[in-house]
Amino acid sequence: MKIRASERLQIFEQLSVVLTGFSISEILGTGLSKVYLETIDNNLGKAIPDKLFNEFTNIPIKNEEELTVSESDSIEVLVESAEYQSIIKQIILLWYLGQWIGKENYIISSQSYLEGFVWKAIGAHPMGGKQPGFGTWGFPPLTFSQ
Amino acid sequence: MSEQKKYDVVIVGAGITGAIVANQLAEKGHKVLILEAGVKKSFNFEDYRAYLHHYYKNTIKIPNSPYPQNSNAPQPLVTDVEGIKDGIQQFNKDGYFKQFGPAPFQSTYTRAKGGTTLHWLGTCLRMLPSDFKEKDLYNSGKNWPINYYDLMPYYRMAEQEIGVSADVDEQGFLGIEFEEGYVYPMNKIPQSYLDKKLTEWTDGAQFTYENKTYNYSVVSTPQGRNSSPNPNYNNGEGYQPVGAVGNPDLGQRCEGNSACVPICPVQAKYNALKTLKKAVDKGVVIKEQCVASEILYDKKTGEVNGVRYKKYENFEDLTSGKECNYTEEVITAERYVLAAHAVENAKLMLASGFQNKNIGQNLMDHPVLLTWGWAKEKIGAFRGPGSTSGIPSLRDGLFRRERSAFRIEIGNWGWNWPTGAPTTELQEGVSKHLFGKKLRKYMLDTVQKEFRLGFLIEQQALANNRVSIDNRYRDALGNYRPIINYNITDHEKEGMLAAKQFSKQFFKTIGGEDKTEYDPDKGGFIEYKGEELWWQGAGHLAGTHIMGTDKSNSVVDKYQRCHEHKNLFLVGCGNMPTMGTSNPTLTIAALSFWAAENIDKDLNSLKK
Ligand SMILES: Cc1cc2nc3c(=O)[nH]c(=O)nc-3n(C[C@H](O)[C@H](O)[C@H](O)COP(=O)(O)OP(=O)(O)OC[C@H]3O[C@@H](n4cnc5c(N)ncnc54)[C@H](O)[C@@H]3O)c2cc1C
Ligand code: SF4
Repeated sequence: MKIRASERLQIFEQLSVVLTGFSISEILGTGLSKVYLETIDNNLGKAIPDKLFNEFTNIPIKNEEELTVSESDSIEVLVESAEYQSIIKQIILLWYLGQWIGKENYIISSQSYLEGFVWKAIGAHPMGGKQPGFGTWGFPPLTFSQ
Repeated sequence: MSEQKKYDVVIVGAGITGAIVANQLAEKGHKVLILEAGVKKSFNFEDYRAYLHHYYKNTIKIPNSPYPQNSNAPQPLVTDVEGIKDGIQQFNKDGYFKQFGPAPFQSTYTRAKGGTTLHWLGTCLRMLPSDFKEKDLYNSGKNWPINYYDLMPYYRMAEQEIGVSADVDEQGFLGIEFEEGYVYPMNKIPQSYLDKKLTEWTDGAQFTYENKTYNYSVVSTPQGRNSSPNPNYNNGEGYQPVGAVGNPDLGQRCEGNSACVPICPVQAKYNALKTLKKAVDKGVVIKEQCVASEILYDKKTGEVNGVRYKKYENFEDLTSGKECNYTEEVITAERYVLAAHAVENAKLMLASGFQNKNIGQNLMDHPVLLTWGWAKEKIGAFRGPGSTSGIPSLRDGLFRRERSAFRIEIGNWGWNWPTGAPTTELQEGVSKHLFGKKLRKYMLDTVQKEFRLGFLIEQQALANNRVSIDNRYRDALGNYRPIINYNITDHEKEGMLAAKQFSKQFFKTIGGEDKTEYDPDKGGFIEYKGEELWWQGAGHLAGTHIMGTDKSNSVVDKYQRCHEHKNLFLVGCGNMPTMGTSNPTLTIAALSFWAAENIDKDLNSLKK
């Protein structure tokens, strides 16, 4: 199946939901998906991502945020396949750190650093941004609610 | 008046010490000029924000990462200390320091307007009274020519200038005294959830080492960051917190940005720009992009009669070795002050041919032994200031005759310092092919329980640990690069050994899991008496021009004046004959107030 350009970004976002464990509204809320897709294309060319997107759309998924066991198994096969290991790792690191880690290593922008999912994942906030307020560090930590 | 005679005082360096001396002398009506090596920066908040964005975008998050390298006034980087190869410590050959080891000197500073307080943590502990007379008490280290009580009024001034938050009732341990009724400017910074849990888990427990017992009491740390002002301050006058320079509504209170090192986004944490701005408003002139290169003096009388400096225009060019455009000028005044920090002060005096043999010697730091592990439940790592509490019980004792004392700092940012968390955990998770919800859970479960301890080991002043210069090693402007010879002794290693035992018992006591694991190839790794140890630098460079009673044992006298150059004063950590176990800046700030008072008296006697 050939992916239409207009659908490409959407597929990337859906794949990102599955790979990061963050919801589509959190992904969209960063405002960074377009920049990240461009970053991937610029570094790897379009062929590998297109192939990955194609395979991803071939897995019938009902709800990206709540994978069934069989859906999750199929994704695992994809994640572990030698062919996609590196790009999948890079997609996750992009979302979690706002950083491209490849031949070149760089942080996309101040915004991408601040929106890095790693901070949310650990129940904190980016070091140097999104300050939670005076004295909050004395409160019990948030528990994982999803 | 000619251009040359315009100033009463010339100060080299616009860090906290230079800023305090400048501000105090301007207050007294003296004309003051500061030479600053760093790139020209306004007091606009936007100029400061530029540092923040530089930090966000830097892939290597080290203390100097917000502050761009400048080949005209280079600065050392922690990454210049490389690994250990075939048992020999390696260094980056292009690093600013030329290190000859055998141990790595791992501390750094910042050469930019505002100095190293731009990226300090802000811990503001007083030294212990015993730290001033270690030679007498323990036959180890040196004595100061002044004592704790001499410094008490100046500590108060420093706590006001920096804006220190602490509850005085908690700070009177190990002999520290305060004047009757004294309170700190602001109430203590709330302790972290981690601090509170550690207090609970160590309640009633004791640490036993070499047949002696010590308590584990977790004590809140005085900090130079804004909290709620104490209405009882200054006999009920209260205290007005100082916000960001150029945007004073910002930073009125610490907001928990968790980036104090390397940069507080809102300047809730004190930095020297705050004092500098006050000084400039009183008429102090800062000449930026001016690197002092030589102190000119009369070879017979020792009297200083000028400072030669190199003024550069072109600061875009950061690649060392290229031609740099600069002009050389000389500035004169009645009194001179070196406030360029320990290594640069010593280097400048050596480059000028000063004869005192103590210059450059006695280089010290606090080697920091790091240990890390998991608490028995989630404590919410990576929240709040870098550290809000410590454990002081091993800061003093008769054991100092045989081994170093240490202060224990409790770190709120997980394993960020020792392992590079949380990026390392993320990479581990991804390499295990975790993704989605499982990856999130993995990150939460591992990181939320993390914390680390840092043991600030007291280092003794020794002649062989030193800064020197050599014609072969110069920077882009032709100024000397500091040469460092450095080692740690068995006295310090014994201290580290005790620290390591403390850590082991501590993790058992709190029911946690000690996850400390050292990489033998990393700089700072040693094996001592069968125990693996690993230490880092604290950023507390000190001792390169110590104070003492005469020129045979020291460079400055108790007034902070050079024994051999009566119109030259030195300020900063270089003056400290012992390190104690306190982070040094509050003490050198207090000494800077003391120095300013002495310079003022001296100038007034001239003017009479
Ligand atoms: C990561 C880190 C954390 C720290 N945390 C703490 C802490 O929590 N508590 C604490 O007490 N201390 C801490 N410190 C130490 C503290 O930052 C220093 O003790 C303090 O900043 C020294 O002040 P200073 O004015 O002597 O020197 P600096 O602040 O270094 O200022 C020196 C100034 O001189 C200028 N200069 C240098 N050479 C020349 C020259 N040739 N000509 C003209 N100008 C020159 C520099 O550009 C700079 O502006 C920390 C240090 C580091 C690195
Ligand atoms: S915790 Fe944040 S707001 Fe507070 S001092 Fe540190 S960086 Fe500044």
